[in-house]
Amino acid sequence: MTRRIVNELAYVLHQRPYRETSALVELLTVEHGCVSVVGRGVRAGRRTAPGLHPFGRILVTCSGKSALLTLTHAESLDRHVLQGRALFSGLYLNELILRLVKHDDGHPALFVAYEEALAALAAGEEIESVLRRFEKALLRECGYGIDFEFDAETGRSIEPLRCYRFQPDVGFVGVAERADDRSVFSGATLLAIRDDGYHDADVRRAAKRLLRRALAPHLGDRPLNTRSLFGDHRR
Amino acid sequence: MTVRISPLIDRLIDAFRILPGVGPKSAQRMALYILRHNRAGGRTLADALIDAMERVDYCRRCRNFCETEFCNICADERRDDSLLCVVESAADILAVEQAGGYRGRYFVLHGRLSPIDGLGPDALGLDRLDALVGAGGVGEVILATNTTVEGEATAHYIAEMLRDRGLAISRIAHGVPMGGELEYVDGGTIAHALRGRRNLAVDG
Ligand SMILES: [Zn+2]
Repeated sequence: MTRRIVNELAYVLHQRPYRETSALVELLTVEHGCVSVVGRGVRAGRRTAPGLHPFGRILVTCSGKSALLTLTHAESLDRHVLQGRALFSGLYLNELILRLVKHDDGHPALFVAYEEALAALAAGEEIESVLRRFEKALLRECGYGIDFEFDAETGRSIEPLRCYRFQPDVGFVGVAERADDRSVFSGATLLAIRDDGYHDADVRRAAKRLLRRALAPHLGDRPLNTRSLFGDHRR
Repeated sequence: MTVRISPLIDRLIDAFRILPGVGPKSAQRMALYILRHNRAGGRTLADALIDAMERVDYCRRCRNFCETEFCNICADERRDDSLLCVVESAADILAVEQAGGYRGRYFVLHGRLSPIDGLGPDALGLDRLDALVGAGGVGEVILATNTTVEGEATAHYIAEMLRDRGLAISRIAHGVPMGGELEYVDGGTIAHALRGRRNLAVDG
């Protein structure tokens, strides 16, 4: 069965050289989720066609019979220029998508969330907030959304003054007291994360801790390589 | 499909195919050519290959290819020790040298950061660069990695790594190519070029 994608909006997530003049390109499309294409001859002259670099937005036409489709046309629209830590963050988003989003699974809302995250990174917005917003959207779109409204055991609303333990695939479960447990969060913090209210540094730290735990089961035992970019170089 | 000829010739044809841009047809042409027309040249090629494979290693200082402890550039005492140009490949050194005008030293990464492909800071041996700069004498590090996304990420990672060394860190300028017409340059390149704009001094 031949699959065909015609003039669909897509972002380039990654590309690697393939043979002499070709490239393997990973795309995030609106209707077909992640798509892998081979672009034959796109590296002719030792320089990849400008639109096929990460963060480039293109209109893609491709077809094929296997999981790897053949790129027949790519019209370059624009590209977000990211620098420094914003660039590392963009690469992190791309790796997350490549690891979590399935092929042939349309996620228009994820596409929009990605677009907004790239624009925010390019505009120099506070990076941690951008990443947490996107991670939440990604989990939601992949069917692993976190329920910030109710205690998973009792079904009662999350209360600001209570504490909750986060269990992946279950949700938040109320605990009697705040033990020294990295999986326990205050209700007030959870409600702030629900509303993406990251102005408080404690909330940002808690959100990072929470989302790492929420993402972990879906990443398996392979670590995210882009995390190594955010090294601490202080001597 | 290639036709099998004889074990030795087939092996020669297969061996030529490791070269970039050489497919089965060209490999076959190369093998038959040296067998028929140039046996002496073939021997020279074989000797040169064996010698180079056995003896070419990395320069102890800059990681350029060479068969001595230090490469020609590192051994040249007229070079400016205070300038260190970091490039992705040995071919990039040749490109900068042929362009002329640069008299400093180099460091070759032999790659670039590409974490999604599993090439992280460890795989790139950046600790050697850190040690070289840490040994002192370098006043400015010029990050001349490619202007691709991976090259940019590599440059920024190195800049962060060397931030506390108290030296100047610069990035090669990139933007509209010489002779380039804006209309035909992609948006990302134009955005970069605008960000890297410089003051145009007008005399008088
Ligand atoms: Zn050297």
